[in-house]
Amino acid sequence: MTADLGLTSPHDGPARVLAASECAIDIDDVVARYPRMDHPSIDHVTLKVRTGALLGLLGPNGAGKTTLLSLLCALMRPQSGAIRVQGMRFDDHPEAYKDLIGLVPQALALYPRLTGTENLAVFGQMSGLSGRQLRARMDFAIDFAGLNEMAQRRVETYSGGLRRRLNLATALLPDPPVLVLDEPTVGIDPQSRHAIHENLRQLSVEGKTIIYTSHYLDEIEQLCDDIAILDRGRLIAQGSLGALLARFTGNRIDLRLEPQDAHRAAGVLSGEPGVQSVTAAGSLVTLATDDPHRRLPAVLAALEAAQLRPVGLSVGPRDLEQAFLSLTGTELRDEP
Amino acid sequence: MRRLHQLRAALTKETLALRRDVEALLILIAMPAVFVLIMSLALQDTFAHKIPEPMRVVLLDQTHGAFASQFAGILRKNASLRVSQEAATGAVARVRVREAARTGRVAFAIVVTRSRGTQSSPARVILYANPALPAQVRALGVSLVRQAIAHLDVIRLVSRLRQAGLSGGPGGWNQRLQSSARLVVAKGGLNGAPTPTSVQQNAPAWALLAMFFLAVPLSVSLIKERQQGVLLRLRALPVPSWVLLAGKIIPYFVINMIQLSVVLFEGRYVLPLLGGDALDMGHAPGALVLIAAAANIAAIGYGLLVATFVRTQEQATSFGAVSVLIMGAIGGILVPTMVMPATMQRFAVVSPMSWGLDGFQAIFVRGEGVTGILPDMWRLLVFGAVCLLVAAMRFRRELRPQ
Repeated sequence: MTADLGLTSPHDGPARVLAASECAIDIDDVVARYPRMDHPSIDHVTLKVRTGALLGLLGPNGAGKTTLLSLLCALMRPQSGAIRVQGMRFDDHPEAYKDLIGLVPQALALYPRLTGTENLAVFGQMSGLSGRQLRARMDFAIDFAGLNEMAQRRVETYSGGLRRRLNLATALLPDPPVLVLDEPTVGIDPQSRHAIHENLRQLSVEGKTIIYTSHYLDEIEQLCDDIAILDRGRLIAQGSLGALLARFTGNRIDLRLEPQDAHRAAGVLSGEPGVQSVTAAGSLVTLATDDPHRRLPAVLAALEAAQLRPVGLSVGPRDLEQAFLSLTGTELRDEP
Repeated sequence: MRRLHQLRAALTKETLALRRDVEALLILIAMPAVFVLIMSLALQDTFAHKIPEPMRVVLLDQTHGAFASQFAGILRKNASLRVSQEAATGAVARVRVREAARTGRVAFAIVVTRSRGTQSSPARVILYANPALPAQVRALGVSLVRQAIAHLDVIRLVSRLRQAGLSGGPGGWNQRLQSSARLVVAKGGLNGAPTPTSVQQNAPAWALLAMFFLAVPLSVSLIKERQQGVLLRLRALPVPSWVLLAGKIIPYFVINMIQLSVVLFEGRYVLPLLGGDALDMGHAPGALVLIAAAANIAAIGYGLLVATFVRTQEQATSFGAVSVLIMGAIGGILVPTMVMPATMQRFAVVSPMSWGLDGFQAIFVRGEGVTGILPDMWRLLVFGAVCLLVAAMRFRRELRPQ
């Protein structure tokens, strides 16, 4: 499924097609399915990410975020469709393709009994670095992660935040143009999270293309220029944060009812004067109106007449979380 | 060049991780050393080349004839034997005395019976030896029995000569003397292969068990890499599976060789200080290196095979340990094959550990060289190669895009 917002620039400008040179990642109508699964985990997803973008990938549990990252990092093969990174396909140049992507896995993919320096040396050499180049990149990574004197101590003695920073710095060793981060700030304190965000912004400014998944909508909102939302393996929205919020905020009334009543309520309210559109997702019914505060009494009266009682109500502009709720009908929650 | 750097990185991380886990490394090396020390000393008398004084002998007479009583009398006069007679005479008694020899309660069991079941036929003396006795002790036992039979023959001959009046008449000089008894040495007795000393059995046996036990830490290290997400990161890097496998094989190969060297050194130099026999390692160091390397490859191949099949540390520790112990039990590591019943001895050859043990003992006990260990070496290499091949295929599939 193609993003319903189309492709936009990061500055809320009109949607436009990216030139090949601008497109760092091109995911074209990709379908992927795990063995013995009835439904595809990734269902006809098309996503283009411009060079230097910092894209936040959102989705509830089982939406397919990690699967999409696995496909991008060539850990998994698509059943159909194509993935190109800087115009290159994995099947054409497997080794060169992997050189283009730095993966920061959700798990702390480090050897706990080795020191920070030893971990960097091992993964640097595994990435194909050696000699002066390796030393230079290790110095950069130590500085980037803020390891300093801790670099010579075993990783098992590091704080959670320091491990996360080293996890990120390790992926940067080969200086890949594309960085893929799967929940890189899970379980760390706000200061460390802030430090990682600063690092990522800097990398983005320097031209790295970054894909970032998180369950923290606020950090996506603060950090990312572009956002893509996956739900049940489908890309249901993609665009700049501004465009997404503009579309899903505004003069709206959000009503929360019992899930079994939501669709009936949507039917009742669709004919109300001043109500432009009604959508029901899960227990949430969203009304687009010309003047939410003026229309609210009539809306509540119509529900009362239909013996429907809302259990929650909000009026006015919404944040990304509400936009996400409206799109997916579910809340973002931690992975099991 | 890139592959070389990657291989160096794989070796470095495995070596460092092993070195940092000092406790595990010590267990790996110390475990067989401690076992060899304990078992070699504990089983020293069972395997001893020293002739026990006096040797215990149980005699079962199924003939009730003069020969048997005279034969028993001669044996009793021998100071190096302590002869007891089995009171019962039936088939059950025969099984009982045979078991007494097999299990080492007596050095020898002797059954006197008739060749053709008739009183006139010559006696048949069946000798059962404790299979754990050294070959020369068994030879001594056989020799003493032969002497006793010959002694009785001479007495009979003299008696006949007297009866014939030394005249050479009918039944005199020209009569061929039929021996009063025929000696039958039971299978596994004198004609068996030379038996090892306690340390010749225990040193290679426990070193082999420890080598194969490496399946456990090897599997656990791979599972930890999966769980820690390191394998995922490595999959995303342009590093081939063979580099990662070599990074595991080489350090563990070295550990196994160190472990074996420690055990052999201990058997040779430490055990005598504690009153044990020094390990006689034969005269073929080249053959020793070859059989050690082949056993090592088989052990690491098995370890990697287990590592690619199990998914949790619990599976690795339980399946790895139990399967190795079973192989050890079958292969004559925990219980020497020579004391096993014949059926079990035939079964022992299915265990790779028995091939390794046989290879070591060919050098240590039978004094053979490279030619003597070739069959065992090839078996171990083929087993190791098959295991490594399957493990490599599975590991490669795990690293490939799914």
